[in-house]
Amino acid sequence: MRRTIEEINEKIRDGSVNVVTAEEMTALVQELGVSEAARQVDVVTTGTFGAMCSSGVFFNFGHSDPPIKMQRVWLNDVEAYTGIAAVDAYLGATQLSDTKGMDYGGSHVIEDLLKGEEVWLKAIAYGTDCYPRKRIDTSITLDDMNQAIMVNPRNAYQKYNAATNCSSKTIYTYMGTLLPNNGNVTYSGAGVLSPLSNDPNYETIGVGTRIFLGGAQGYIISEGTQHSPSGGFGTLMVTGNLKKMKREYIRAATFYKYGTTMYVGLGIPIPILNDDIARATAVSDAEIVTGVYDYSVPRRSKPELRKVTYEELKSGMIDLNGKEVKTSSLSSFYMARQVAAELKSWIKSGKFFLSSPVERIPVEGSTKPMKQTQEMPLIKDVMVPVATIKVGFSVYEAAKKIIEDRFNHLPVVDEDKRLVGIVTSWDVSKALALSKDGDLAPIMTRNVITVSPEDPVDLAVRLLEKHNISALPVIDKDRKVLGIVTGEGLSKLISRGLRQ
Amino acid sequence: MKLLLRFNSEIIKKPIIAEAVLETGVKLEIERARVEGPQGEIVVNVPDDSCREVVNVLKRKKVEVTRLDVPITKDEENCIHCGACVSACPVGAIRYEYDWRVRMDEKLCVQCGNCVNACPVRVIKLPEY
Ligand code: SF4
Ligand code: SF4
Repeated sequence: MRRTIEEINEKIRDGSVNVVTAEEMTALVQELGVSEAARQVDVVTTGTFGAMCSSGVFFNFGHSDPPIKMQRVWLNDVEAYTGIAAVDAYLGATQLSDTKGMDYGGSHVIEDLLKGEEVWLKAIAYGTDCYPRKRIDTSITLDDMNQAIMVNPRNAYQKYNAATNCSSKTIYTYMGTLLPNNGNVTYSGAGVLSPLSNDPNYETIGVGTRIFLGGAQGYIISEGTQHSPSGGFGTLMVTGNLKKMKREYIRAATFYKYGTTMYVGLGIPIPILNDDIARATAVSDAEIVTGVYDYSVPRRSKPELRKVTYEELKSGMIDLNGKEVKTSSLSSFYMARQVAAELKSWIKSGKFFLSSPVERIPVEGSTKPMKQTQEMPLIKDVMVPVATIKVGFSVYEAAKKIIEDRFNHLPVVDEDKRLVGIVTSWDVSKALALSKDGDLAPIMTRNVITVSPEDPVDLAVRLLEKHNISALPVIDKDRKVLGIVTGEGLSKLISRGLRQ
Repeated sequence: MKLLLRFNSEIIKKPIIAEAVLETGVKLEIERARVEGPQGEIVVNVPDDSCREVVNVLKRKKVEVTRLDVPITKDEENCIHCGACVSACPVGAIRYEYDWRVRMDEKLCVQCGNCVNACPVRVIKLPEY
């Protein structure tokens, strides 16, 4: 079976086109086989609705009188990039408000504009002969702008990592709230409905392809940033007219203690031009595989705990090292279905025609890591030796040790030299002042925050700040104490680095 | 009335409960207390007629106050049914329906507050006083 895009568009025009969603196609191919399904179906619609940080809008505000060449501009206190022409600016979804922080960001401005609300525009400038004005304060709606063109550098991830947390503290990430001790697993992506998973060879999805973006027609500009098709992590750069979009499909979001992002509804129609394309659109959740990673390791490469399919993830429970762990999604499968269904109805009712790509998107290649000219020092490069004390010793003996070693922190270890707690000179002096000499155990802190020798120094700084503490014992895999890093030591190191 | 009091790291070391008792003269009965890292939570029982007064004093001292007699709410109209709240709930009070909509069963909720922060579009609210 072969058909062309022109033939499909002809059928859309005369109303005889047969469109199914990618979910329906999977079932259809299972029932009828590839060739029969390919014969019957002209178009398969896909859809996804997830948090897509790499999104934003180009605005043209129109010229004021006297005119201003904006040097910096804010919309509701969220700064937009205006290092382009006088009254053009790009507002990114993750830019945070200067005053409200993580509660309000670029995505919220975009959503407010879609709701028809007025936003407050403030701009400053240095003033020129042709653009004398130095400041402007006004309020503006979407209708008042000349253009509001969404350009999203990276959308529609083919699939994404699933996340869990192997540490003993809750962490807040762009993969949502991750409960301690593998308390949950989160994932993202529409699986069976994911646009790129339904055309992994980029046979029909290419530069110029007309798509559904935010409830309006949009287009693919090129491959997305960080496009990594070889590993099955392709992405797309897309554009569309914000003025035509619907708030239902563009939603502002905040990931707690991470920042703002934007949920984008995106759908791509896949013309069934031959059996191979039909076969690709028959992909099921069971065939899309990703990895579960430990997000408590804040490094570029995180440990992978296991491989998992979207079918398993969607079942609500997966097995992690013998433990049943609850899973839930961050992207909305309910809304992804809405996107695929709405795109299907547009095509059926003759409102949306398919386009041939003008250029292909790379099918191979993967993302390179950043070139770093200065290697980040590791904990093992900066840690210092520390005295320890065995559990069972008394407060008085701890005091003696602290005085001898002139250290404010004294890790407490068991018989096998494994870390079980920590006491500070403050704990010890307080106990002695209250004449509570005796066993050390009651006054020590048991829940010790630690680092490993291979961790980057940045992590230590972040932990010290986050937990408001002044030192971190360095331990190996068996919890044996190797040394200590202190806030004081790190600041000396950092200031030395600055002076150099 | 039962109230959930949350203390952030800035105020956790201050003797706020004692001060509140002294300033209002109202007896506060502490039901449970939990300190995790730099944050703390206390559940107190307050006589109904002096509740407002106590809450005002606590709020002035920057304590986050939640009523525990009113159930948690989820704004169905603005929920995007992502499910970010589902696995964050320790008691399974939030679940996907057959059609992938997300539903909350208020009766099972123990008001831990996990889902409030987990929700990216902020549509779950614990009743604020
Ligand atoms: S407050 Fe806690 S128990 Fe209640 S629904 Fe939310 S996560 Fe579940
Ligand atoms: S996290 Fe919020 S938006 Fe997502 S399903 Fe739960 S209540 Fe709805």
